[in-house]
Amino acid sequence: MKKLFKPIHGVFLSLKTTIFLLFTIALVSIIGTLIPQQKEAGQYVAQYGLLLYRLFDLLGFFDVYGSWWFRLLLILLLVNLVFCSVSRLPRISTRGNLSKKEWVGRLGPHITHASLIVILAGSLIGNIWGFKGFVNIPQGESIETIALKGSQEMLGLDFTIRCDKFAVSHYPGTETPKEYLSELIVLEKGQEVFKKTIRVNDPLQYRGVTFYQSSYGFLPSRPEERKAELEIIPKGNGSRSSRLQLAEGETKQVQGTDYKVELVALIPDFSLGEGNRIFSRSDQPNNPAVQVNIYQNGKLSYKGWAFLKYPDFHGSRNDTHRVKFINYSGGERPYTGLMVVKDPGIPVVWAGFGLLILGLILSFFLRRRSFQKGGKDD
Amino acid sequence: MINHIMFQLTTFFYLLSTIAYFLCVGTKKEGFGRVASWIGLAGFAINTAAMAIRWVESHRLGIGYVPLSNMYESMVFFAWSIVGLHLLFERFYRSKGLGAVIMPLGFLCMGVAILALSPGIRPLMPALQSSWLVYHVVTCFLGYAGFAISFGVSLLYLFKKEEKKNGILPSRKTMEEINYKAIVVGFLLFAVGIITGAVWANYAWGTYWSWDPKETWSLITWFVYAILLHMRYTGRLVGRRMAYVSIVGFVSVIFTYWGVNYLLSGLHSYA
Ligand code: HEM
Repeated sequence: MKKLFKPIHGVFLSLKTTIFLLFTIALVSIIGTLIPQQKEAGQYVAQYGLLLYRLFDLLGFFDVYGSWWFRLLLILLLVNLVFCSVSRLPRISTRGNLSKKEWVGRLGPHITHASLIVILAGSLIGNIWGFKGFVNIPQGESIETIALKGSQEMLGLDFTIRCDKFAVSHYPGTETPKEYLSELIVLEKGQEVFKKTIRVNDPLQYRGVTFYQSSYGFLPSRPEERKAELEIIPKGNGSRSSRLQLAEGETKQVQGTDYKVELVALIPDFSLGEGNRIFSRSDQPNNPAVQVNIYQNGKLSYKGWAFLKYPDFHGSRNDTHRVKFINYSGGERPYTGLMVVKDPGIPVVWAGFGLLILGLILSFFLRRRSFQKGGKDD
Repeated sequence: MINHIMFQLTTFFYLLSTIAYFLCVGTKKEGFGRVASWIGLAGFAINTAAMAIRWVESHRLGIGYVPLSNMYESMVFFAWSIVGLHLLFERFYRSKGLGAVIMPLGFLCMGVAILALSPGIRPLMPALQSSWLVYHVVTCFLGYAGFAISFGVSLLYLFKKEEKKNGILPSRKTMEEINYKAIVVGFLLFAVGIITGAVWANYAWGTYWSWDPKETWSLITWFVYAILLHMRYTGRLVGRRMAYVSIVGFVSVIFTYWGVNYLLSGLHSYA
């Protein structure tokens, strides 16, 4: 066992191995920058053809940094680092005849190497105990679950998040967005416990979970929220026109008159299909149209269509009324798209970053080195 | 836009300085070198003032930001970093010959900026509005400047054939030392650049590392120099070999800076 272990031990202690590993990692990393990563299979087939797609897929070229062989290389580098660091530990403690400055400087490379171990450990912690997810919250609504990234799973949070408002501000006089803002409220057991307006670069953090402003959009309106404002003009002398607002299916008696108005249909995007079938092409208010019935003393006296964008369109001469469609409110609501991240490894990674900088400063500025025959100075 | 005119003036000064450095090396007269340094310093001052004025102009336009957020601004800052660091190294190593390889790099950056890149001041998209962006760009480009000096010295090392005392060019030993020191400065600052970039990405997107092409190429570049430092430690990287590896490192820098933006796609497509 020991015999078997010895040569492996030697390999991991060698600086040649380090150089080989750094070189190999750098080289294979290039693949992932040339081939777009983690895209749809269809896109790859279109770009590379089926044969090349199969080959690249087999080799893991479409997810280089998540592939087993890339992970293996990182682990080997880690083992290499640990071996070198540990085997050199005894020499740290012996100060010999070094000056204090020189001695502290000699710690530099060790701190540098330890920092890399710390950073990798931090990223591992994040991978194991953290999560990344995504959620859309319509303005005015709350959520308690998020969709996890890279899987179909949903994840329940321990609290509720409500979005009171989403807004985009623009640079004065331009269409260029300046800020995306979401007013977020954290609720626990129905109680508001925390409140923050987040923007890009300024997330909300609560109980280790961070919410980042990431996207936005508009929800199609729900039919019951769509309203049409109509102007009804009875024909004949001396009759006053009246205005009223109706939802689809609603009937209203017009005050001070003897007629009722029924909104038979409200269509946000009016279109004619085969055989003059009427349908809504989309949920967006591209061509709002209404179908209206008017009843006088319980008898149907008017039946027709009116269009928001074509106010001059109206029915026949014999009609008892003229109907004008003057306003449409669809109730489209904005939603905010949030990236939701929990990463308990962050403090560890940040500490590693600090150590890395410290280690490099000590290595580079507190040690004396000779330049006659390369860098060997120990 | 006054700033653009001042950047043009800067370019002209760097060109004059380059010519004076060439004359210095060609005629072996220190005097030209001194003139070159002074012109370089004047250019550097104008370069600094131009960046400050651009900053003020951006505020006048109501979109105030630190002018380090597009290709034009990064190029003029790169030139500023190269010339600034060069003037420091020159003072420290008392050698005028270096300018003949490094000042042309500063001139080249300025020239590309004013001829090929759009100088417009445009509003920042929300993701770029972060002070981490400033720390990130400043440290990355100062790091790049260290690597640029290493590259220049390496070229000089390869061109200077034998050890002749001429007083203008530094000795080969000194050049090797300058090369190493410049890499050390670059390696440290670039490490800080990668780190501040990671912290910024974490604020803006919720991930400190996402293996996008810019990040990956930064790491590759950093690894190339890490390999160089370790190979030096084993004593196998001296003389011309050190110069060659330094040049490879700088090719990687150029690819990280320009290649990724123009040949690959990713998050960083803005700068
Ligand atoms: C990403 C990986 C690594 C980085 C960034 C890194 C960085 C450094 C730096 C900056 C130095 C100081 C160099 C100098 O002052 O010239 C150094 C020295 C050294 N490294 Fe690494 N290192 C890495 C991996 C490793 C590994 C895996 C080993 C183990 C075999 C190793 C062994 C050494 C040794 C033996 C020294 C010389 C220490 C001394 O001068 O006392 N390094 N490293």
